[in-house]
Amino acid sequence: MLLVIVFVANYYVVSSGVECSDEISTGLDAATTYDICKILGETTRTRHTLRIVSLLQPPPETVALFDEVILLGEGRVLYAGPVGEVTQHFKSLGYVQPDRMDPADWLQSLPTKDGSKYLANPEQMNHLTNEEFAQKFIESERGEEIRRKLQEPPKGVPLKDKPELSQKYANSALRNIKLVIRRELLIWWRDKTKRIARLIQCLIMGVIVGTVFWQSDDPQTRMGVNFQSIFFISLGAMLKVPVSSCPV
Amino acid sequence: MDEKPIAEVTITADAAAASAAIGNDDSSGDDHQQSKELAIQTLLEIIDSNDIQIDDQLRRAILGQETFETPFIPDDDVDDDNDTLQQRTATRPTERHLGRTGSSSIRRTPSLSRRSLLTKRESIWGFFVRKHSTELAEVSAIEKEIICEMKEKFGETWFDNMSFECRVMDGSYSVEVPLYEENGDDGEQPLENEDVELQEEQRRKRRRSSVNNQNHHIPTVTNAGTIYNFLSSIKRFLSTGSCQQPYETKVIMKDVNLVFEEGKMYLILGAPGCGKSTLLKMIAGRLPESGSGGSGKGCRRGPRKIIGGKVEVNGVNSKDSDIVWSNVVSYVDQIERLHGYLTVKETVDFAFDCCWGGTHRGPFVQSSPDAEALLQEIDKERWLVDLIMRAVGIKRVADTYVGNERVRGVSGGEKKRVSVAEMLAAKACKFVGVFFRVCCL
Repeated sequence: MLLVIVFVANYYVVSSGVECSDEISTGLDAATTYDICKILGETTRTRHTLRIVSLLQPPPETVALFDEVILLGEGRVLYAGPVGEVTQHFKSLGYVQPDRMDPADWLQSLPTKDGSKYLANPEQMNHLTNEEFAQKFIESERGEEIRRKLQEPPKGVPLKDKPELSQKYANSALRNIKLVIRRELLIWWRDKTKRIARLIQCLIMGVIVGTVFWQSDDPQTRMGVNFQSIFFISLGAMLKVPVSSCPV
Repeated sequence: MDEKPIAEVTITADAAAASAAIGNDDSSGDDHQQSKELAIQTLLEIIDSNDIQIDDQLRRAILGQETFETPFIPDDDVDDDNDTLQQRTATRPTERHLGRTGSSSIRRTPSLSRRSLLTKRESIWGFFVRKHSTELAEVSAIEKEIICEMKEKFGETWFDNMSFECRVMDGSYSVEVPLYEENGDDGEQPLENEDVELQEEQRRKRRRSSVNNQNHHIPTVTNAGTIYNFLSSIKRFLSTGSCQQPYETKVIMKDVNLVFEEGKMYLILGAPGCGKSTLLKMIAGRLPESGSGGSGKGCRRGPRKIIGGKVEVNGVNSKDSDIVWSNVVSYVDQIERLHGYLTVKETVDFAFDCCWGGTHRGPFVQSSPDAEALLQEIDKERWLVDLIMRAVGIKRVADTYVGNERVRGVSGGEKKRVSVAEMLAAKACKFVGVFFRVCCL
């Protein structure tokens, strides 16, 4: 039953046409990775969407769940085609896959320096560089096929007239602000150490400022007190302003 | 559902034995023929006794009257003699595509190697493909049933008739990185000496110096510091008359032409740092770009980042302003950006609230009082959040802090799942109409 829940949940969870997942296996064990990939694949096939997943060192059973594999090396496409044909392609380039090695591991180490030890005849030919690999792929049958497909007119349903795709936020601006403020307050309240530290800081500052202007009715001192407190509050929290930067 | 795999395993073992018997080439002709017939008989018996339905073509193939083509997994070690025995029940990838249950027709599967199933790597791969496709066929049957029922109740959503195809044309990405050491003279200065040997020596020297300078291409604590930068810009000003920071262009991605077809799942492999994330971000339209760069104001200009080529989904360019690209392409980041002081449930809740306004009401095509009542009910208990947490397996820790370096929270794997759940909640429920059946399960 749980399996079905998982499947159906994921089935309906797909809302974007194309989904990119970047190294989702990091920190997960092999079994979970396998499960997740399996679910992803199943939903993709029934929904006619697209999934592009990058994984580091996937085990063979996980690789088998995928339809096609794309091998990159220094930003170039070294292979793109069905999972079943990938080893064949590199074998035809003169490389040998060791008996006790994962196909995925083998593929990953091929374009690197280590790849030279998989050469079938190390005396007769040199290890290919990434450019040469890419060039070989472009010349191959699969490369031709891709170029041919790119020339064809676009397939699929036109996306232009879908209002669902042009809407950016689900809520109104007011509700968005409300949500964010509520969340921020919650986080502030949860951080006990920071809260207490701030409270003590405020008390100390209050006592100091209060005693400086103690028993004085001069309007100028009142202004001074106001200035002090505003100054403290506005600048004291400056460090808490999050500065987000966009990582590459 | 449970019996089939067991039967499968037995057959696998028996068939392996059978094929081992057949494939024994060393034996003399008569013995060989005899043992082969015996093996074929055994195989047919196994098939009959396990109630596996096979079609005529396969039966003929087993009896050696017809050869099967082997379209899927390449298996070069298997000789033709053996090939006829390599057939077994499983679904081919094209068929699992369509979600057929695949009980009546039989398909070709690869590689019961003569020696043993597990000595060959390819065989293992093929074995998993086979095993997986049978499992998939079973599950997708259940799923299909549910989905049909849901569709009957709620009608179709707009998404049901969609198909997607993505193309990357001539994709490239290059970034300018600041050079931290002045070696600008090296490249431009022409070689003055006419003597060939001296020229050669000069070149060698330059090469060596550029090797030495390679350390400075990456920012270190020293050379990225303010004081160092200030001093080196003064030095630059004195020597060249301009204090512009020299940049070098680094190509991260080049000549990427890809077609992604609908209904397929793609795996991107590659050594670390080869541009996997860049490709994914490019498709998702998340690469930072500064096309025009500095227009000459002041002495510094920002490093330029140039995206070349284009990404299209169904013929729509990613730079199209009519469409919010993140609705078409979603992206799950490598790095978790979670708040330590929120509980797991609150994290998922927030995503749900923000992206769906806290309601399960998707774009309904069909609306009935029945559906309205259900909607209100599931809105109240925030059903989707619960479902996702159950699906990802973090229901157990729903009220625990996510945690960070200061506060103790869930474990690393669970944290990963939280970010998956967050993504799911954010992207989910355009199809909520259909959740009803699951509630009843």
